[in-house]
Amino acid sequence: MRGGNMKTRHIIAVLLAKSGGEILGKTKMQKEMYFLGELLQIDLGYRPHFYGPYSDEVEGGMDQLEGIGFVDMRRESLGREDQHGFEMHRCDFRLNKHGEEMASWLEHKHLAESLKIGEFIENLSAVPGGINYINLSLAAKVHHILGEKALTQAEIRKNAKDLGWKITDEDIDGAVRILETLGFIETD
Amino acid sequence: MEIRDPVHGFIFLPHEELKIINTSIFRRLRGIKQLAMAYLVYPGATHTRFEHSLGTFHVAHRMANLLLPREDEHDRRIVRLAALLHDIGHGPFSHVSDLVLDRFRDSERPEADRTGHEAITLRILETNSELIHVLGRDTITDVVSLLRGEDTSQSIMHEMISSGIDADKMDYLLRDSLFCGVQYGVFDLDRILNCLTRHEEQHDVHIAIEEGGVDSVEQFVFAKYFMTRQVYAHRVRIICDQMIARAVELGLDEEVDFLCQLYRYRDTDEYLHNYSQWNDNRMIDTILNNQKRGRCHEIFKRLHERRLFKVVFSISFKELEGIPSPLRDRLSEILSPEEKDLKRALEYEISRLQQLQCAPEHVIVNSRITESPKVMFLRSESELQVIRKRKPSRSFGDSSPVFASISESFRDQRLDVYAPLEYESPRERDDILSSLDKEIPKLLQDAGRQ
Repeated sequence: MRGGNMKTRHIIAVLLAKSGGEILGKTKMQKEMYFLGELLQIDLGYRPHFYGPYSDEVEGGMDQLEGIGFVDMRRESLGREDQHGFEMHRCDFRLNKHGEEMASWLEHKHLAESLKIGEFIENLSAVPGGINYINLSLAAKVHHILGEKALTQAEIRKNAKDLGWKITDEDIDGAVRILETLGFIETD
Repeated sequence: MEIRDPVHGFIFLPHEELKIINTSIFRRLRGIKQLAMAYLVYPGATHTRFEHSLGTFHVAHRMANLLLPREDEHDRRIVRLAALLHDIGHGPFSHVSDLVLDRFRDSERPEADRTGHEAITLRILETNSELIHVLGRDTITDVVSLLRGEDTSQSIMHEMISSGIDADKMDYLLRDSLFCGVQYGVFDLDRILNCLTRHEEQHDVHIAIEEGGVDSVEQFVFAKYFMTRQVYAHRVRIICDQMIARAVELGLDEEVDFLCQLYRYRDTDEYLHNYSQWNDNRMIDTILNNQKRGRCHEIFKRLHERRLFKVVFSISFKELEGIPSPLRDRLSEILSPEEKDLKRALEYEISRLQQLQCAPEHVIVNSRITESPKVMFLRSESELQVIRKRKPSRSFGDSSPVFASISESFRDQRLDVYAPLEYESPRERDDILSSLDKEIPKLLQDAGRQ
């Protein structure tokens, strides 16, 4: 059961609206929805994945929004090529006028959840040093794998090292700042 | 024993599997066509779930021999049996039965979410006395557990039966392609099988592919895409499926006894016993020979005589204008049980249009989606790991140059209307359709105001 019977695509639509109408990259969208699911206590079907927790349900929700005509998906070049010589790219999502109208309707219909989504976005924008898809992915991976075991910054560092993750101290700092700001771990 | 198969050549069947295919519950699959009434479009498509099950068994057998250690004979046997029995719960007209069972699921009942053919397969396995006699309860329990896929220690075994690159798809693409007389589903099965390998990730073992097999998996991905576009989502085939589903719905409305017993799911032995007595031809004959000539009979008669409904309206959601967004959102789920009333109201209004003037039950509003091959298969194949020499493994999605170059942004959801269309000339037909292109959007806008 979704919070207030909100369907997954509806949560994504409100998340997009609260994010200024646009989210850059599928990975960022997936990880923001991961934390939102945790905060709203909604099971969105996240499972371990190469780049941290991933949900088919969220992926499907994004596809639905595009198919219904609420979201325009744009393929943005990253200006570099992979080893095969193919251009690397990122998928950006933007609410169009129909999507904005839908999100506005949903915000009124699901007031409590929409307020929480707005608060979540405000908290994310307050993360010191900002967020990007890399530190957001790492933060989600840390939270998803270590869960309740990851109580403090020092423990996260130790666990990441024990698990043999090839990540820098800077990466860990960024992830820790996100988890601290969102209230998932205690400050050392 | 060896059986000659048009797709795989000789299929070797061990004694145990031979006993299974001679049980009445398995023989029943000879009467369930793989692609329902797709033979009205592709006359050759009369193959059944019986030979597909044999083919899936054969491919899974080869996969198990390649991927499971020789000493794990028990696991290899369970994979073979699961493959052979994976479709045992299909009802008449294959997936059309799922469509009807889903529409008539009772949301108040706890088992309501488990009424597709996959759930019925598990229930048949657990209760069918012939299968229990041949295999024994312990083996049945192991087969059911594998099909459920809940035990992560069996990941690699489950992936042989159900994953992006499973034995089921590898058989049905080649088989459907052959019987439809198209080349879209052809791929290099031997090359894929030769490149399969094991990949350990944390404590689980998964199917992976050697780097040299990336091209053959790309070919497999495109085979699925082309078959979907050309066969599975063929306009006439979709209309046939929708007409069968509508006929059954009408039969349920008319309280046709055998349809009620077949499609109002109950989690009882009696229900399963009755369900397993039905196949395509028995259902067609029973309806056509029923003394009570109701609305269900009328649609089946149309199918029998190939007087099919036509696409009288089709629009992409992206082109829908003047429709309030909440209604647009509901229309996207017009096939769900929750929007049954909206669907019926629209069909009623459309049937009254001067250009159609038909019975409301002869109008079918449908929603369908076309996706890019990347989106279509990204979720499954991208999980497949590619094993590289002297380098860390990486996902198929990151290893395939062809995959990387495809845009994900192509996705089209359409709202279709099917109905009988009578006309004297192509010009008259075009005039009617042009006129409906103007009238139906107005009805959609009116629905938003109500």
